[in-house]
Order: sequence, then C-alpha cells, then structure tokens
Amino acid sequence: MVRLIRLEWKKNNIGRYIRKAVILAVCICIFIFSLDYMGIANDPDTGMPDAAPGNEVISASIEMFTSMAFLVLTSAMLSSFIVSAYKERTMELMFSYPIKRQKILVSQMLAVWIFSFTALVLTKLLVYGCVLAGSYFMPDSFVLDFDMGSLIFYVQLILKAAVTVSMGFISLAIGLAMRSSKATIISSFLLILFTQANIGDLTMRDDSIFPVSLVAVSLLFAVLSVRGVETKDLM
Amino acid sequence: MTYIVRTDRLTKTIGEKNIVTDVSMHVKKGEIYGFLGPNGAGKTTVMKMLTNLWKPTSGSIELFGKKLTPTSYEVLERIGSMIGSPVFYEHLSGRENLSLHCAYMGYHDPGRIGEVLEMLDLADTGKKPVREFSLGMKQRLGIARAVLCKPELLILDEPTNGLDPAGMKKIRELLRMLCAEYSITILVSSHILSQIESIADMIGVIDHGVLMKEITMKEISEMSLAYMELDVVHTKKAAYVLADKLGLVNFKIIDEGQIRIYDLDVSAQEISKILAMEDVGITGIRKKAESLEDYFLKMTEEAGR
Repeated sequence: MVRLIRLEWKKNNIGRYIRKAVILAVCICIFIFSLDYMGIANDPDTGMPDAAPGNEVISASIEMFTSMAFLVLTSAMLSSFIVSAYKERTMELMFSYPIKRQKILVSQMLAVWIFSFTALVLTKLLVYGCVLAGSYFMPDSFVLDFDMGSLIFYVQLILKAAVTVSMGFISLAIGLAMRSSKATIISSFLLILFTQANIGDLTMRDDSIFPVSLVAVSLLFAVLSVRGVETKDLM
Repeated sequence: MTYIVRTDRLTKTIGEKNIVTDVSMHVKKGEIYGFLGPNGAGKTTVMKMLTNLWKPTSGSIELFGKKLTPTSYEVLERIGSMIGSPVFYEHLSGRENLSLHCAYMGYHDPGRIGEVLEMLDLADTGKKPVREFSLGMKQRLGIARAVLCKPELLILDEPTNGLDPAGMKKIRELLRMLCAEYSITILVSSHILSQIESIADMIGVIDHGVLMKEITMKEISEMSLAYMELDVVHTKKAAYVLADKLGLVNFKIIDEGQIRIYDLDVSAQEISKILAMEDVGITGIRKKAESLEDYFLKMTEEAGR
C-alpha cells in the first residue's frame, strides 16, 4: 500500500502540490496576521473589529480560513488524482495491472488524504504560531482564545483537520457520479458554505454532533466511491 | 491442443443493444491470431472483456486454461495489452511512463526499458514529455509498453493505427519476431486484412458482433480463389452452352454479358472453341484471382443481408 501511495505521488507530480500548499499557507498566515494586528477587519468608525457573532475570537477565523482553503485543495487533488484519471482513461491502464482495484482506488484516496492532512496541520500550526508570536510585540484586535502549551489544543487541531480533509470524499463521490472535475471542486465550495458559514446567528459549525456525523457521511461516500469497482464495466 | 484464449458464447449487451453475440474464439499457444472485422464490429469490446475491463453479459472466458473472473488479477501479470488509443501520463517522459508501468506490474529489469525504446525507435525522445509526442510516437510507445514486461499473451487493438507504411512494416516484423523468438501468443485486431495477412497464422472474422469464421492462413492459401471471366454477347445462351456442352456447374452470371467460371479444369482455349462453335459471340476472356479482401468482404456482406 505504501508503495502504491508513493507511486501516486510520483505520478501526479506531488512537488507541484507542495508548492501550492506552501503558497496557500503563507497567504493565510499573512491574512490572519493582518486581521489581528494590522486592523484590516476594524470598523473605521469605531476602530473595533467588525466581526460576525461568534467570530470575535481569533481561532474562529483561523479555523475557518484554513479549513476552507484546504478543503478546496483536497477536492482539487482528488479530482485530478481520481476523477480525471477516469475521464482521461488512465484508470483503464491502472486497472490492467495485477492489483486489486479497490486497493488502487484506496491508495489514490489515501495519497491525497495524507498529503492534505499533513499540510493542513502544518499550516494551522504556522498560523497559530505566528499569531501567538505577534501578541508579544503588538496589541491584538481579536481575542486570543487558544493555549499552545496545552495538549488539548493539539488534539483538537488534529481532529478538526482530519474532519475537514475527510469531507473531500463527499465532493469526490459527487464528482465521480457526475464524471466531472468541476463538480468535484464546486461541491467542495458548497460544503464550505454548509459547514463553515453563518447566516445571521444560524450556523452549524458549533454543533458537537455535527463533526461526528460529517465524518460518518464522508466515510460512507468514500466507501460508495470504491464499492463495486471490481465488477463494474470501466466506461 | 493448448489454448491461451478460449471464449465460450461470449456475449455483451449494453442497454438493449447486443455489441457482441455468442463469440467462441480459440487462440492457440504461440500463434498470431488476426482478429479481422470492419469498424464497430465488436473487436475492441471482445478485447476489453479479455482484459477484464468489461464484464461479459453471458458466456465465459478462459485465459491460460483458467476461467476469468472479476477478481482474476494474477493473470493480468502475464498479459501485455494496448486497447484503443494508448493513454499515458502526459507530463512524464516516455521512459518515466515505462518505468511506472514496470513498478505497477512488479517487473524488475533495469536494462529492459532502454531495450524496448530502442526496438520501437523511441530511444532519442529523452526527457520530452509524452504530451509533445506525435500520434505515431504515442502508438509506438503504447506497443513498447505492451511488450515491456515480456508478456506471454499480447493483445493489440489496431496497433498500426496512425503509423506510416514504414512504421507499419516495422511493427509487423516486430510481432513476427516476438512470436518466433519468445513464443509469445499474439492477438492482433485490424479492419484491414493486408495489415495482418502476412503475419497471422489464424484469422477470426467478426462482423456485427458475430464471429463469422475462424480460418487458418494455410486453409486460405489453399483455397481456390482464381476464376475465369468471360465477356459474351448473349449471356443466357452462353450459360446454356457452358452447362450443357461443357458440363460446368461452378459458374456465375455476374452481370449482363459477364460470366465468371470458377471451374478451372477446362482451359480457356476449349471454352472459346465450343462457344464459337455454338455461335455465342465472345468479346473477351481472361483469368483472374479474387483477392482475400474480396473474399472477406463477400463473407461480411452476405452476413449483413
């Protein structure tokens, strides 16, 4: 399996994605830093941050922007690793190898998952770290509501990252069903709206049952993408 | 007799349409089997089923004496194939594509990639990504990939598509060499007989999804395809004379004023003498040979009726 995952990375030019992830991380970092210390979110009249309810704390913004960015990246990767492989018929080639087809698909999904998960965790650490470092020198506009010294902070960070990246499987299943790379990426945007955004006071991101059910749905969709691949005709 | 490929009433239905119907084909070990049929006859469909990309609606496939099931993965190790136009990882070079193929096939022989690139005149492509390859180059790279891991069974779908005449000749020579030196069994399809008649040992003719005939090249060459063509003024009278006076049965009126005689026991001289005696005007007489192409065309046309 490890060998298959490595081959996927090699084949899909993973270096390109590393560059993209780094650029993404730096951009988010600069943005959040400006939000907290340069006052770009401040209302010009009051000089206070003009945040939506629930967004007065900095971690809300950090979680939202990193999740958004990396969910889209995950979907884009899944679409080019798997959906395009079907469309460009390279999957036909993969299925002519003496390897179980479910294993091939799982290795492709894992190749993306591992990469995106690692990138997201590192990005979050970078952003939290920068914000924390800034607080020693500058006054902050938002409340710093995290403690990088506690273990719970890291456990939460890792769990949230896992949930976010797994959600990519939902958009993968939609993209596969529609045989469309565009559908994969667009559905990831819709997922963000659904899970991250708020309409007035209404938001689904604070519900504690919600992430659990999300993971369950994601896994279900992952299974759906793999199921029946041995017996189905490859069209 | 050992069969490498044997299908039993293989049928594929998509929706309401029968793409392939009751195909029972037999490919013997070490032979080159030419799979001949017009475009859309079902050649590619049969090949897709042989490589497990598509599953048969009914009927069965035996490869190397074992029944092919949806989970027959090991058998794929022994098959090299190119079905339809070949696909590659376009941003990678030819060599990188081949090395990925080796990795997935579980084949290790460091010198082999250079060998096949040399064999198919692709050695000088270097680091050039496949997306910059011409159609013919991609086709040759596809064949290189199919033969790369020294398969026991080679399945090639229209391998000479997009190649120039010199390239086609080269591929034919390569196939003959692989068959003779490595005793690889080869199943090769084409819609043009002349592409495969010089190399095939056996020809299977498929049309509208039905396998019309399996015939060895030896049988074909022994078949009498020569005939005599006669131009006459009075067709009916001539036919009467041929049947009555010369006792010929195997002749056919092609057109008004044109008769073909397949019975070649009687000489042209004799025929013209008798016809002249009976006062049937002859304007021409000549010996002709039907090409194989005509023969197969006739066979598929008859089936179409």
